[in-house]
Amino acid sequence: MESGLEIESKPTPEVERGASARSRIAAALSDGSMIEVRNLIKSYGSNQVVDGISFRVNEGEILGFLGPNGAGKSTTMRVLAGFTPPTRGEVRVGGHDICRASVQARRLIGYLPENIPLYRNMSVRPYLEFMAEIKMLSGVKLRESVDHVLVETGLQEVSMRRIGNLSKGFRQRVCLAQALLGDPPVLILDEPTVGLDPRQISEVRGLIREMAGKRTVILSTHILSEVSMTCGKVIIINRGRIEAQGSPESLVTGFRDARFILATVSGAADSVISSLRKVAGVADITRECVSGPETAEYRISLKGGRDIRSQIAATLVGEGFMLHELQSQGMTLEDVFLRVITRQQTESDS
Amino acid sequence: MRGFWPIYKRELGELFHAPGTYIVFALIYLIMGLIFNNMMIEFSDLSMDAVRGGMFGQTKPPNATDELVRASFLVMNSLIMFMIPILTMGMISEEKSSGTFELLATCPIGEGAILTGKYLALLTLGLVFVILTWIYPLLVWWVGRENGSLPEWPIVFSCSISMALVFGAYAAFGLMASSFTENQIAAAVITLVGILIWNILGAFRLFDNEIIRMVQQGISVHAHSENLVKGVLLLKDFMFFILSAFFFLFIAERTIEARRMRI
Repeated sequence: MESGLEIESKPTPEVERGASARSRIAAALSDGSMIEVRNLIKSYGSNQVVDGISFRVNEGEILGFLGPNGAGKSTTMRVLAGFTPPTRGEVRVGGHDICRASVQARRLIGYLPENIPLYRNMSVRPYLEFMAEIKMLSGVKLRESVDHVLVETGLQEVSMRRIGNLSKGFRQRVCLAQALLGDPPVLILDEPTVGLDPRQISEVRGLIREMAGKRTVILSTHILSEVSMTCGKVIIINRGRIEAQGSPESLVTGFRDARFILATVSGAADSVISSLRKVAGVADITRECVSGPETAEYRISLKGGRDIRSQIAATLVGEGFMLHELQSQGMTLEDVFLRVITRQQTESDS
Repeated sequence: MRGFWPIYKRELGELFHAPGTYIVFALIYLIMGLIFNNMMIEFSDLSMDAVRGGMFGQTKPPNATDELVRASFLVMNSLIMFMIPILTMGMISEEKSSGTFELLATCPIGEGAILTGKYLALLTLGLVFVILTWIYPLLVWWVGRENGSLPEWPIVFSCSISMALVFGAYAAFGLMASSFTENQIAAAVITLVGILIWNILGAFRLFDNEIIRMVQQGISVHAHSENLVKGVLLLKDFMFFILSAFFFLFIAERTIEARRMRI
């Protein structure tokens, strides 16, 4: 694969082989982290959208940026992509400061904005050729790069169609294709799977997963399964602040009551709950979905994380309730996310 | 400034594919054709009168360069005013409103390259426009080639330069207006009103003050294009248009950069 990167600014841009370009970037990095954000603040007037966030992404890592709408994800992405400068703080991409050495930093980045901006009256291939030229590719390397991204994103069939006539899924892919042009070592993808059908979503996720180890990817999303499927590291952001960060597993296990038991039981709700409370190791019980006149699913969170399914079964059957199902489950990233977001909400309310 | 070439090529393609360009060109040449037709009729009346020995007071045969060539270029210079807003209104505002500007700005090229590419595309279109205008001097030459009332080619050349300079300065103004807003119509209105005021600035008698009148004359388009249309090529007139264009493009660049801080 080809790459249009260059670390030092030279009068004429040279297209380097991907590997050698990466080794040069590695040499330029001070501590091995491809993206470094220190105390980033972005405000519009008195409205502080990003409030002092700091993180690092190592080379080859895939970072998921998770947060509710309006949390500051897209703003952070825009700052990282070099579109808008930070109000305060420092952002370095491949060792280059995004403000002071903006062009050098931008040369390393492929960016997919949130709202898929495209020239609707251009055809796919001419559009990609135009973007490749802007990314300083030329001649054979330009053609090879365009051909490569067309294949990578499955756009060969529509390569001569007008972008405005394409479906949203295809347009999303065209935008992703332009981000991949020139094989940039850093990809910033703002909600890359929005608007795609399930098959395309899994294709795009597969594409991103394949990049692990080869490219540094930051993707923002509010789809939690996407993060657990694709990312090695997660940052949960809310109201412009980092609420939690780590690998999806460490975030899940980081909670004391990470495991819980789901029991489907027939019987009066109050008496079921009071008998469950008698079992040692039960922390809390919530009645979740009701599936019949007297049948409901109870979510039992545990103290200490010990598996107490046999005790629960014995107690329930012993007290004459009908037990339909009993399963032990781990906390999902969705649970972590909701927990983190609501915790912050209650803290700020109080 | 590197990287302006792909922008230039794309913008030029856009301009030549846009129906708006053809509609504007067609309308301008239609209006100009009607006016030119009138000029020709008047000119032939005056010539006839002169041939008949000044029955209606005309004794000297009219000059084709003055009556037809200069007059048609002067009309064209004013018509450019109405053409520029249509051509420039979407050039930056649309990129901003559709978000494509975000992609351009995150590519390894600067605002300067983006603006240069766009501006050069406009200038190329302007050049085509000027060349097409040569139809009128050529018509004058064709009709008058037998009786000797030929256009003076150096004047035609100087008038063409004035048209190109006026086009270039207005186009830069249009680009600047387009960078002010995300709304194309607003950009078009700012351009039209701005150019109109700039054009007739010299004619206003706002204050009875000699210095203000001199400043007004100094920055008025009309005063500077007048010499060129007469065939007088002065450096100060050239510099006026070129520096004006640079000034507007500079403001456009600053505007784009300042907007990025707030996005």
